[in-house]
Amino acid sequence: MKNAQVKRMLLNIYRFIFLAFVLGVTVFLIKFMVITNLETEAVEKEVFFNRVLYGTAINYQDPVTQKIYPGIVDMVKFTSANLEQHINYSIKDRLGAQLDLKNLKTNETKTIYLNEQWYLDKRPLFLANVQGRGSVKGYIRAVPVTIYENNSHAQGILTIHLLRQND
Amino acid sequence: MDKRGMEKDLYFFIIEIVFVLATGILLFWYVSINADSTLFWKNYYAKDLALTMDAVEGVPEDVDITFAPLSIDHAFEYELLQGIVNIYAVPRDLPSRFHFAVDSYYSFSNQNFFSGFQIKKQGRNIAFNEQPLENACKNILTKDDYKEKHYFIGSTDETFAKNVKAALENGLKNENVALESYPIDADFSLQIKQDSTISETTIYVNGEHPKSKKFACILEEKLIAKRFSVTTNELVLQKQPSAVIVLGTKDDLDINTLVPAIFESIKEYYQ
Repeated sequence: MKNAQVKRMLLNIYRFIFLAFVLGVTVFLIKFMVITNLETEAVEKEVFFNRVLYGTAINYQDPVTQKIYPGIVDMVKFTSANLEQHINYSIKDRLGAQLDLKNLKTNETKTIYLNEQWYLDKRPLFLANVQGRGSVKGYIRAVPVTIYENNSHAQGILTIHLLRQND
Repeated sequence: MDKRGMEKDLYFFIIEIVFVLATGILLFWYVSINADSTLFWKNYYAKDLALTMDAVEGVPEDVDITFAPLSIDHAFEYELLQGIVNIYAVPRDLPSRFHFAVDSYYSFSNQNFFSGFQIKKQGRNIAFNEQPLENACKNILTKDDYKEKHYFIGSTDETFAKNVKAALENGLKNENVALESYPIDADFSLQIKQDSTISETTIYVNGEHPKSKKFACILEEKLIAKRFSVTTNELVLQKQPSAVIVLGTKDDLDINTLVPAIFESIKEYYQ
């Protein structure tokens, strides 16, 4: 084979590589644009916050009428074990939360967790603002509540820190 | 440039063109496969149902919710396990899965449904009821199914079948409906039978095909309006949308009441 022929062939190989690259990018873009997944992050976050704030997990429940009083946190129920019983995910690597309840009278704060180990493992990623699939997104909501403990009431602030695994 | 060099360039150019064409065809094929696939809908229902369950478990009071799937062509199986929702296309394939949080104080038993259903939370119990057929069928979209206007009408009584066909042809001549002689050529198969052992007329529908349900519940409505005594049951029939009307002893094979009910149902099926 002559020198010129070899050069021409090498030139054509470059053309093929470029063509394959362009087609690869096109395939990626089409695959990227065909939607098969749905983003439900905002709904999941709202459902969780509402479940904690209005549900049976931490709120006071009248023992006679069984009525739930949202906004009145029962300190007997404010434990990690109880929270896990009421909001029990079959997989523990998708969502975790930390609930801080600050008593404004005594200035004491009690902290409980949902999926504690996962939450503590993932919190550094959230604090370091690490993006991507393996990381998490975080949300915080603070609400004024009434703390019910030993038949007495006190004002308090409930802060919910929620972490959710990125899809 | 010598001739041999030009020839080689030409070969490369042809290979390039073939390569581009093949990739283009593959891309179109991929997009069309995805457009037809049930994956998006399975993901949609998995998340929708799981988040609904999450909300139901979180509501402190009693709640009654109807889960009504949207109007689409595909049939799905909705499986609810403890904290997990699985959605399968029918026939069963790989599921789309989504998780929800359960409240350990509520009683819950695993469920499978093929159409809409009710979720009822009462006290510490979460119960599920299959939606009545007439409610489940309303959302099924058949308006644009012009391709499914080939009908087969069969009966054990051949003369009767001929008369029904003639009356239907007359009634549906403006509806672009073709009556086929064999079920295999039809998109919708309707069988009419008589059974002297049962009193009530029964419409059997293809339980795995939501469109059959839509047709059956329209027909049931029409027949009841014409004073037929009708119930509807599910049965696995052919793959295509299909229904079997079994006339009981309470109702006659009266062509003047049955045929208008059938063609009104066919017309309404596309609305």
